Amino acid sequence: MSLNFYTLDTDTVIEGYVVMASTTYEFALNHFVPLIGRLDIQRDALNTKFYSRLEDDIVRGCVMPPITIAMIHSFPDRQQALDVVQDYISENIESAFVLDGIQRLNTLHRASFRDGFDANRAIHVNFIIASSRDRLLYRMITLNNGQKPMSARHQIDILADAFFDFDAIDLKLVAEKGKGRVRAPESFKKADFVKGYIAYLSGSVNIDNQKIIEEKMDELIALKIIDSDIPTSNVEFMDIVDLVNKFSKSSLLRDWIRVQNNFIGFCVGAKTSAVELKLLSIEKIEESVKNFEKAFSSINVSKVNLGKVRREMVAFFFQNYLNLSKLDEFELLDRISYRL
Amino acid sequence: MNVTIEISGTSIEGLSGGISQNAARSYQYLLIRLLLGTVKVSRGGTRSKQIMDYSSLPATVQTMKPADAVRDFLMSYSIGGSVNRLIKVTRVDNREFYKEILSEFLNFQIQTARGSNTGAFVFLYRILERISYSVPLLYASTQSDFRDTFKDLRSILNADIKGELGMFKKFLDKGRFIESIKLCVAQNISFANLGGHDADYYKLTCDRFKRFVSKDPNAHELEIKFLDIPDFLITIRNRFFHSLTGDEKNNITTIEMPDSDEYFGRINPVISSFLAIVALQSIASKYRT
Repeated sequence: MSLNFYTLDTDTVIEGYVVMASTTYEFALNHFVPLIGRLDIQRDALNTKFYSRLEDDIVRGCVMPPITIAMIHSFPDRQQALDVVQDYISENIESAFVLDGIQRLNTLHRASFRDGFDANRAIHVNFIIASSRDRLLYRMITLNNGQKPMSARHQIDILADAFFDFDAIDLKLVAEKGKGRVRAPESFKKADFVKGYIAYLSGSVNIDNQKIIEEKMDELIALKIIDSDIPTSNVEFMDIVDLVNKFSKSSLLRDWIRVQNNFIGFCVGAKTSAVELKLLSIEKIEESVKNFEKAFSSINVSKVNLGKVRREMVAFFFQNYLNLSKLDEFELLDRISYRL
Repeated sequence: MNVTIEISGTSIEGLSGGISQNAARSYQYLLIRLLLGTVKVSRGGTRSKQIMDYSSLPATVQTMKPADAVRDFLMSYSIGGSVNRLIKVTRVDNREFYKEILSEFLNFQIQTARGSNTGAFVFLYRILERISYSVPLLYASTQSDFRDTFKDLRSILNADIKGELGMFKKFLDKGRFIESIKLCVAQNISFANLGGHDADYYKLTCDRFKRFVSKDPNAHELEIKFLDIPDFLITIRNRFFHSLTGDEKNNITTIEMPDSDEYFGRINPVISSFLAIVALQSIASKYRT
């Protein structure tokens, strides 16, 4: 049970070395976790929902990003060989500090008591050896500050750009699952599309409430995504995109899905019924949507409320598509009005 | 014609423009103006501008002119219609009830302006008690489906709940009066920079209330979900406003709480945010266009 060292680089700014390594959870629990709390200027463990999800994921076999362990030492010569530095690390590990990854190690510690925890899984480590405490502080500040954590919404926005091609004008472009960029459904504005993606991931139509300040809304979206079943679900957003592309074969459905509130409701509801919808003919789906619209037209909501209610009802309709698509206009109205 | 309105000794005046005599006839409208952060209040030598917009979560500084702020409120709380319409329809309903609620909030404001945060807290608790039965009933009366409303009410009234505030909690929990997503918003309570007593306040709080979203023992900060605020309010009130020897309830001592005004100064904002939103929502639910 030991460290596997891979690379050694000289950091001339902090006059030290950076070493990439990996080891097992067991080693980390025995040698890294006890180091926590040594560097007084760092904060102790926080107890939040985010880390409880990480705890689950550790047991399920996720691989965490590398943690950073720091040491203070001035080597006599400028250029050291890997084995000299390695030996130093191995022999002096108990006087090291956890520079980045305290929360992760605490979570690992909690996870180690759970059923199914595998202590032999790998954890990756960056070792930083600086020649003075001040230089280490400097590295810590440049590591942790100046990088504002991105909101979940922002992260999704960026990835959406990577996954989907919004600028493509070549109409013959065919979507290939898993291969590079995919053509977004015709004439969808990126902002609307991303909203749908966020709604899909968080399982909620309520993603842009005006009276909740943006920072809190972002927190809630992240929380909902963490709570969701994305790792275990059989449905992917690509399936929704495929369905939307299928809709363009019907002019009614093509226009219908392009209404933002319908699209958002659909992204949430179709998560549940994607499998069935794939098998149905476009005519059947068109019929059911026409029926839905008839039922919905009877709802007496003020203009100011209409968008929100439409999103919710569309989501409800598609979530329970199997049952609701069988009902006639009035039976459907009964079920919808019950939800209002 | 603009008037100065006086409610039981406290005066309200609109910021930048004043409140018309016609508008002043609606206590609900005045309450909205207060909670949107568009008025100044005074009592004796105490003058205070209320510029926090409690309709947002968390509360933010109001940057709009009063007329725009009210129009924005009509939109974002899904009421619709014009400001004049709102004044007209709210003028005659539940006058006694909203006059009292308005008065409690005004008292809260004056006490806070004087730095008497312990006193201010008393008014927050009074508001919670006042609304705990009435708001669920008010809301029930606005619903369009009798059968469901009856079912809902019956389940709330019959349930195994402790005290009248239990019913309010159950009512909120359903996520229909105030949408579930708002109920999940977490707000910060910080005891930082309180003349060396940070740790004391933090500890006494964590010892009495267990349902925080997150705790930071170093920065002495806590996060609490919107939905849990009434329970928090009740717990702190019960533990501090009683000190009966031998009642074994782990009441808070003054040794633990060196300066109650300091303490309540930090928890009142989160509580008033909650109560303000409930008050605003109670009006919004009834007067949708």
